[in-house]
Amino acid sequence: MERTTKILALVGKGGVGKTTICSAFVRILSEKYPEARILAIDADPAVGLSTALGVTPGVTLDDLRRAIIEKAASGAGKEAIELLGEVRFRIFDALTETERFAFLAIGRPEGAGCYCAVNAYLKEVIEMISRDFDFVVIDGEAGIEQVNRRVMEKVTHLFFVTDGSKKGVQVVNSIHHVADELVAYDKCGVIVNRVDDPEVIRALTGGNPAEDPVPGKNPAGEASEPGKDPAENTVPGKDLAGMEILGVIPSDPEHAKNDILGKSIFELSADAPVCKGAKEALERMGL
Amino acid sequence: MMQLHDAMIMRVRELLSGFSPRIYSCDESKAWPETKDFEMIFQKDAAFELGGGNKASVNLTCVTDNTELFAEGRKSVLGRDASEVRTLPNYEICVYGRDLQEIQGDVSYARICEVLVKGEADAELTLKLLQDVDFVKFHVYGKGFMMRTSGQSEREPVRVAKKALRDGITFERMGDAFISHYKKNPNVLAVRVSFITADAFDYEELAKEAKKTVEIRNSLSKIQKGLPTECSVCDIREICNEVTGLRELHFGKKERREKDPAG
Repeated sequence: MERTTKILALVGKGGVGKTTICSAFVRILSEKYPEARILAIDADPAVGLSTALGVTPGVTLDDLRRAIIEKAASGAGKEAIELLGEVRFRIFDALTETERFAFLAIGRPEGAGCYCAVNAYLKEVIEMISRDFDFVVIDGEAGIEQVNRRVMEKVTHLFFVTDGSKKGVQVVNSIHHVADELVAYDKCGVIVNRVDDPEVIRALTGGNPAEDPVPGKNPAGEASEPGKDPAENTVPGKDLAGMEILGVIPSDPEHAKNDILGKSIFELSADAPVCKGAKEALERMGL
Repeated sequence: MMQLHDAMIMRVRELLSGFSPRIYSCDESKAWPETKDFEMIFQKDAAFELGGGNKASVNLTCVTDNTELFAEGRKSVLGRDASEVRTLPNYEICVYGRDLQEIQGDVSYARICEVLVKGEADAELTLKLLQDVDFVKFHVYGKGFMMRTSGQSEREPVRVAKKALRDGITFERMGDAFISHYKKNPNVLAVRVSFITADAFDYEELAKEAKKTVEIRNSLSKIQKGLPTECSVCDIREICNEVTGLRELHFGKKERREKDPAG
């Protein structure tokens, strides 16, 4: 049977919680679809997804890229088919396989400077190996660069993540603008993370029903209008260019404790706000 | 002029001479099914890995137009006296050691393809034919038989899926699949595919031979681009000294250039 891969990517400003939500996505998808093949990609050179998922990566994609280039420079295997063969040969060195998912880290180029080459390589690798998976979940680099460089070109479900800051919202809007041109996504939406103040939530979301973290109550704790279809309550986010709000996740002390203790997302209670919020966002995307 | 690998073929046969293979005539109707493209097999779906972990894995493709050597070789490969040499089919599969259905965990592994071709006198055509024959390894996608063939070394670990074992995969049937690919090339006259999992086989020695094929191809590529014909200053002289035929190809090209500078 033909595999139809769903490629999910999380983008946004640095420090808004993309990695945590990404790890929660991997957990939820692996629990909901235990037979599915899931690939988690840490595309953020800052590296953090491996810790959140409780895996220890060895070789990174950048290590792999450099090793192949060095060999080719020394005269071995320069033909296109040989280079492709070499990627297939080495990709398993970079792939950490667990019972629930596989993991790949982009890594950091040696020395200061440009990530263009590794981003270009990441794009090729995503295209090459994604068809072998049911879900590919990408924890994107902070900012707009990977969208600009078409690394995310094949993404089917694009998740923008912001916190309650003006800067976070601006970054989301900038990426959204570029993504509309460069990413052939099927669906997109925004997750508002670590925001507790009802006024901030209302300002960000404009009263979208997805802001309602507790069924039957809005974030301000007011009861929803009984008998009314929640969709009718939808008001485009004022500051978020009318994008669909997929969820509002409050601060999560349980996750903060889990994180500082170096525990993975799989050790967090399923009722933790980050897990519940991530689950809700996936459901709103039809996943 | 396609005798660049002849010494290598002899060496390989010497390495195999102490073993008794199971031999199968090729039957393409039995070829193991393939997928359209490379498909990943994950650890949880794999029964074992040939050449996995710290085990050896080697792939080697030898090409010759020396029909005599190919016929002679049958004798030494089979370890029989000349009087016992039978008329063998042009396409056959040899299994040294355990077959796939008999393997329990990761084992050392080698795959050797000896290919008899119609010869080419020209360096460019020789290089092209060597590449065409060698690159077959990148186009065989046995279902549940994931070959990770390195493009830059001699390594070729293979993950074998549990499902493929349940469905009856064997080396014989994978060999049939390989041969069906080689047969698409009209220059190919005969093929022997050998799968080796015997513990006592000298994989390290085979790997040394396999490395030479890469050097030979690189040298041919350099000859194509026009190397100096003064051996004392040439950087491929070492492999040229070792491999019969390389120098002739090189100087043959020089002579043709002198006769026809535009060619």
